[in-house]
Amino acid sequence: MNLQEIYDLMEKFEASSLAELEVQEESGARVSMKKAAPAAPVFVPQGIPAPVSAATAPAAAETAAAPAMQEGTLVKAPLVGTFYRAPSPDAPPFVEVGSRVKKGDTICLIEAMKMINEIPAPADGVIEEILVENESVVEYDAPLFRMKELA
Amino acid sequence: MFKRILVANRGEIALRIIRCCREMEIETVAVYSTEDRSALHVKLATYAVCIGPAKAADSYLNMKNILAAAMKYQCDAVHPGFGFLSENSEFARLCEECGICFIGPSAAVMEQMGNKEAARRLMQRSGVPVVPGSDGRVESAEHAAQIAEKIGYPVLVKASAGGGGRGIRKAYDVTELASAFSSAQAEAISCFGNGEMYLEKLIVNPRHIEFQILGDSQGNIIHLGERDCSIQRKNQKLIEEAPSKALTPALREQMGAAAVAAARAAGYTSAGTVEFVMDKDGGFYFIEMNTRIQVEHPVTEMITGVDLIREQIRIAAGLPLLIRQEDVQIRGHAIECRINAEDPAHGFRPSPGTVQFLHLPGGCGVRVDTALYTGYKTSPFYDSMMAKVIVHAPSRLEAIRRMRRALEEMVIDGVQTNADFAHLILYHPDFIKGTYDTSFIERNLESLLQLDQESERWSADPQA
Repeated sequence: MNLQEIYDLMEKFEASSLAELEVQEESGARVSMKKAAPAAPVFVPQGIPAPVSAATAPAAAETAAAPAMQEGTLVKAPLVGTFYRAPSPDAPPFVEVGSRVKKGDTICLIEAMKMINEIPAPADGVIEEILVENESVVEYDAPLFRMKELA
Repeated sequence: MFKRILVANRGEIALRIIRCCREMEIETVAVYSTEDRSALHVKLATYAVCIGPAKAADSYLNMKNILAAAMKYQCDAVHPGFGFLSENSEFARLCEECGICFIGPSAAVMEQMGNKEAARRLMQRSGVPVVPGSDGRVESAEHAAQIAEKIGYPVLVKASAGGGGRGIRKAYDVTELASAFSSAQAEAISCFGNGEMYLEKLIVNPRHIEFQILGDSQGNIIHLGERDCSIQRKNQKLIEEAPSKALTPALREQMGAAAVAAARAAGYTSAGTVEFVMDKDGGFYFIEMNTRIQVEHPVTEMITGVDLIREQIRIAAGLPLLIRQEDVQIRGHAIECRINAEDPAHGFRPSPGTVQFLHLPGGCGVRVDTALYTGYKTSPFYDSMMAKVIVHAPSRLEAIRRMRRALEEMVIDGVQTNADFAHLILYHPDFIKGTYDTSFIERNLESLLQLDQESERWSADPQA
């Protein structure tokens, strides 16, 4: 392969949706290309299962919540939307595991139809577990956090 | 063609739409309330999203959550089914704004047909016969009295923004008119937030004949024949059939043409129904247009062989109708019985329960549209319709016999239903002769209930 051919290949590879490409010539020369991990797509629906069984969609949220069957209060999504842990992409998250919150403190955002909804802590307490990933799509009643209420 | 459709409904119609989508290889997104977690439409869709708590206002009527789900799951269309948001022009408009196709007519057409008085006037201008009545809105009871003098009593005071039989009052003479006007208007304001009223002559004990319409985006509009829905209890349909024994071929052609003219005047697209009332002399009058797919659509599907949901989806995707008017063939006869979880012996009150054992009828010419399964728990939050049993046969009498057989075979244990009540109707001479009108159930209610109870007692103890 000459240099121009390699440049052409690089361009095509860049424009393609492939993540990796390896070409080996008979002479033994090898060209290997890899893309950096793709930027997280704008929308990664967490609950979307393989098409075969839609029953696992609610189950996916439920199995994530299974460990939360332990003690504690579950904070559930009051609407359908995208879950955000922080007020903006570069800001630190509202809460981490172990954060103390007061009733009414914003602990996350859920965005739906370009409108941001602040989700408040239902009581004073400590965040014990974060049950969904940042930027995942949540359905109504999906458990978001497990927290321990403090008197 | 659409890749993914969100089905904004529940129960048997959600299932119906999902089944059609599967055949068309379109992915589906089911939405459900917390009450419906184990529902059949949830299980059979490609994806499912919980959109709210049990109460319909917070879930199946929750436009925000439903649209959020549609966008998050990248649906290119929404099918609203019937009821719920199917005739909500605000929802249709929101879908349009979000770039999601609403499977049904446009918001503008919906609004026009949703204003009953404006729809009436449009029909009048387009040469479609309407019930004699007021020319535009009626401002006051005095105004109503003037008009009633001219058209003759009895009259109906109706709300322009009405629907579902609400905002309507009868007046048999001038002494009843003032109170009819004020109470209808009060109901209209409370139910629809709009007190605009109009007047219609009350056609006593009419037959309810409706025509199925299909219109595509290229201006093709056809009708698929009529359905006779006169077997009603308190304005709720119980048995529907097609063709109607009340229609001669000439009348069918006339009414079909009027239905198409009505749809054309409205600029209608998608599936819709033009409703007429028919008096004893065969005179027919437009009363309203339903801008959605209806519960009783399977009756038309059975006699024409047309898959109405598939046509709706195709039309919404911009495709032309698969058939022309001359291709529409009415073959044989179809009857549908609505099976509701209600107790006829106790005023048809809703009958909650869990289906302990379910056996649905089958065989030649039998179709059951239902979301029931053994173990299904009925819910007080939604309507009581559990199943639709539809039969098709070469002749009307054979269809009646087939429906009797189907209902006899059906078992829904654990919940009271109106199946036996419907079954008895199929033996009534007036039904068999086809000489019934919308007063049929009211007039025969007591004797039917008596028969029902006696046969219960007999089957409990044949020796008694």
